[in-house]
Amino acid sequence: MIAAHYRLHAGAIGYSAGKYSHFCALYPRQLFVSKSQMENICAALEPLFPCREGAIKTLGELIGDSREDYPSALYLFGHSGTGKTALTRTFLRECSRQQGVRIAQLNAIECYTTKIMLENMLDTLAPRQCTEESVRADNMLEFVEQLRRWHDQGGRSQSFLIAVDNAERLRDMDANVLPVLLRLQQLTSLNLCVILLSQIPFEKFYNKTGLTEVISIHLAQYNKAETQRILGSDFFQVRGHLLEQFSKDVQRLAICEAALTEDFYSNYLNLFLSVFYKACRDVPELQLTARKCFSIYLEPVLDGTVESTDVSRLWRHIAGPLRSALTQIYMRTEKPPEEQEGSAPIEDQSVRKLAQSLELPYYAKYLLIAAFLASHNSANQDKRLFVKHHGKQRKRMQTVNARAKTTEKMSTTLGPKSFTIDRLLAIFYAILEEKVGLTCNLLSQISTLVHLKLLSFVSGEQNIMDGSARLQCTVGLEFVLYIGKVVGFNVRQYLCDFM
Amino acid sequence: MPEDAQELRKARRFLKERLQRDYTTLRGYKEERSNVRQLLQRTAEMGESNSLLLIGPRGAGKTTLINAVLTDLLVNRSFVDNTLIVHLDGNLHTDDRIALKSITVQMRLENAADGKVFGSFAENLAFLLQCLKAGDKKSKSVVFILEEFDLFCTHHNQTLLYNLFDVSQSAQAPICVLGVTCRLDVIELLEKRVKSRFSHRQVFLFPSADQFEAYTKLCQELLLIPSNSELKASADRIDSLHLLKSEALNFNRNHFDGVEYEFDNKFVENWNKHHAKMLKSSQAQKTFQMLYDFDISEAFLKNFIFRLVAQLKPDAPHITVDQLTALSAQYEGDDKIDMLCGLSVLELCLIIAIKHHSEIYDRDPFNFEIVFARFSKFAKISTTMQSVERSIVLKAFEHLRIGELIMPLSNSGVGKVQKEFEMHKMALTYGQIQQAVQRYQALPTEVAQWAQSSLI
Repeated sequence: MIAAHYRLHAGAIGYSAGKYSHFCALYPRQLFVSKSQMENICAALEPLFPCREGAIKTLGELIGDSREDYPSALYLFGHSGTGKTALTRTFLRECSRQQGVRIAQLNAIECYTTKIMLENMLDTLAPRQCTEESVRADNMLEFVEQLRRWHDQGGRSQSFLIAVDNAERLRDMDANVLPVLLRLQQLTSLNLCVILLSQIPFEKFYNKTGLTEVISIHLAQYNKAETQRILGSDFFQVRGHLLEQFSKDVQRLAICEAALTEDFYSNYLNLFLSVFYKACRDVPELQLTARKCFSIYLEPVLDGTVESTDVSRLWRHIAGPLRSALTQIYMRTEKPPEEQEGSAPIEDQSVRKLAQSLELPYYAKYLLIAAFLASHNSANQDKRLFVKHHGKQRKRMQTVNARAKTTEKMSTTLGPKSFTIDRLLAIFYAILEEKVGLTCNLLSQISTLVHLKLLSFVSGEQNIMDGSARLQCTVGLEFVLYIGKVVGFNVRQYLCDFM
Repeated sequence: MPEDAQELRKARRFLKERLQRDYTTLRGYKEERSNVRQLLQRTAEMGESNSLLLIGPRGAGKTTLINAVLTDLLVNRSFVDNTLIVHLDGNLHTDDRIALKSITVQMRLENAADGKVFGSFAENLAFLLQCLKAGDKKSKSVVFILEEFDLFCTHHNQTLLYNLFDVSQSAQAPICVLGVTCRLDVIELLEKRVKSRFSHRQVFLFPSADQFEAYTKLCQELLLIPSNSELKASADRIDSLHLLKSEALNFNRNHFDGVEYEFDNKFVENWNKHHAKMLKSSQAQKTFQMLYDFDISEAFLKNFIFRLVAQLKPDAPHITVDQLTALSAQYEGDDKIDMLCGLSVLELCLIIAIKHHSEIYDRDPFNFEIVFARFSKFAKISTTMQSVERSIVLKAFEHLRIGELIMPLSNSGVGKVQKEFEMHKMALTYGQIQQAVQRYQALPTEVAQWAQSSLI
């Protein structure tokens, strides 16, 4: 209560060093001492970001108080989904709200030239009175000079915080961007701190002549217990959502209200994480999938077939759907709701299914197989593979050794080689038993395969007619094996790798 | 007690400010300092032209040395009246046109140069220097400070450097060119005609690695609070900074000023006693020895102490040895191992597969298919990794690439080669992988065993 009261006033007064003494006189000193600016910010953030108390405390200590000097640069790094951006954004917003710090947060991906980045920064940092004319900064010097001018106007009482997301992109920008940002405080003589956010350790930034010192803070990945706690904090939201959904169906609503307890949800999360945690630790991704699968978990309970306390039967029911959901994680294949109701909500997306769904004409299938063979066999083996009377081969020690291949040296693992259309057609006629004329219908199937991205041009896309165009096959072995099975052709038999 | 908390807050603010904004206090380097000082003095008083390069590693105190020398010279009336300071930074003045414009502004000659058309760079510079001569019998001398000097060497034809050195050789206006750089081979970067005009005066700043005594003294100096009278003593020096009229050189504008602070005597005594004792303890000494072994520069130490000071608060009014060791442990740790420990088990399995491949094929590059084949062999017999689809593994592989734990061999091949077949190299050592496997929480035993031996 007291804290809230205090915060209200601090915001209203618009805290600056000058007004600060006035504030002191109004309120008993004890109150002022008990809560510092930094603690206020930390207290506001901690409920929003569970399991991040350490990082919030460190940030608060370093840049929580705008009257004290900021460090010149902070570097925040951690895997995606550990809360770097969200934490920084909220932190900056609190700083701006409670202490009147001017803030800018931008993403280095959006800034494809230095000019855009600099002008973006200036626009968001600009004091209110000079927003009318937009600020221009063609190069670093103008940017720094503009900041110096603000220093002359406002003096040191004004503080600035700049956060740059995806900071690893700064390495690819002009060579002076990163060194200047790291030394911006010294160059502008403002109380200013640059916060860089990235997924890679700072050592990857070092260039030939080194960089100035930076304070780096690592946001560690959440462990299993923490992940479960964070996912569990969704419970009330999920419950509210479901109750709303069943508000018309009285019987289901009753079951839902009785069954949906925090224990029930945490049991579900336990099962969920036992499947997903080994493959994915990205919390936002897990959160999304956990919400999606929960309705399937709940279904037998709503139907009344399984008791809500019978965890082992519920597990048997959910295990399959969870495993198939695992194949789809990160894919975000959202379907419109009307379509989703007919089919199973989560569909297996394996290569087999993909090959099945692809309706190719008969000759096109053979062309695709021929393209695959051309890509993965060397041309000098063609005679032996496709000509009936290819003569006897002399066995030499050299060839025997060359044949002794390991998986790493197989052409199916090293990638496709390119081939000409002539060779493609030759192999096509060799593997096809029946005789078929070389018509434009047949040739157009090649371009269909290219359009479907099953084949791709490596070079000479313009001169297909003179035969110098080179193609390669982009599908994998598994896919082609399946196509071969459909037309009754053994692909492995014709691959040098498997001889 | 509220008064104590008040004092503590003041002390924290004071220490932070002194660490961040004390731009002119140079410790050590007596000889180099007097060397540079004499050079500048001769330029100012006798009108001698000169050029000099200041070379030293990052954080050694090159800029601080120049700042300190300038502040020293501010006492000298004739220096203040007779010298102009032009400050250029290789990171900001990225080409000679910008640099020349900035020189004009810093010499306050925009009006004189306005509307004039110059045939060449040399003509323009000569005009600027000529302007200084006008009126007086004796010309004003100009000190050019070029930070990140090596970057000026990349400018087209090195026009700026050529002209500056040329002026400093011939008896035109008295100028002094001070180059600051951290590249030892900077002379080799100069073109022949530029090199021959340079005086080849070089001052090297190397912090020495065998002065641990001085290092601990520095720690003490940075952490203790001086008495009020000591604070006042340095006030004159800082007051004189306003004489430095330069737009670009801005350390004078917000230099740390100790006079603003006045501490309670009892508090200061208590604080200094406690921290002097803390610094003397054997564990603290050991920690500082370790930091000294890492990095001997003052900038590094200041950064470390800044983080310590930031941890002060009313409930913990002193820096303790525990805080010291805990913070230094962060510097000891390897960031890459921390990142590895944040990977999922699947991603760690891929790292192990890559490790086995590199061991067997002597660090040959690899692509996704090779790693996937090796991983599948393991997945077939393992109980935890079964039923992981290829697309998920591919995603995990891409995640490793985003984290730059593996790097593509060439950047140009993007789009030409399918991503499954693009060749990568590993950006980790075997030791890092081994440590990560040991430290990983709740790693399945079979994965840990597989990490030890590639035989399945």
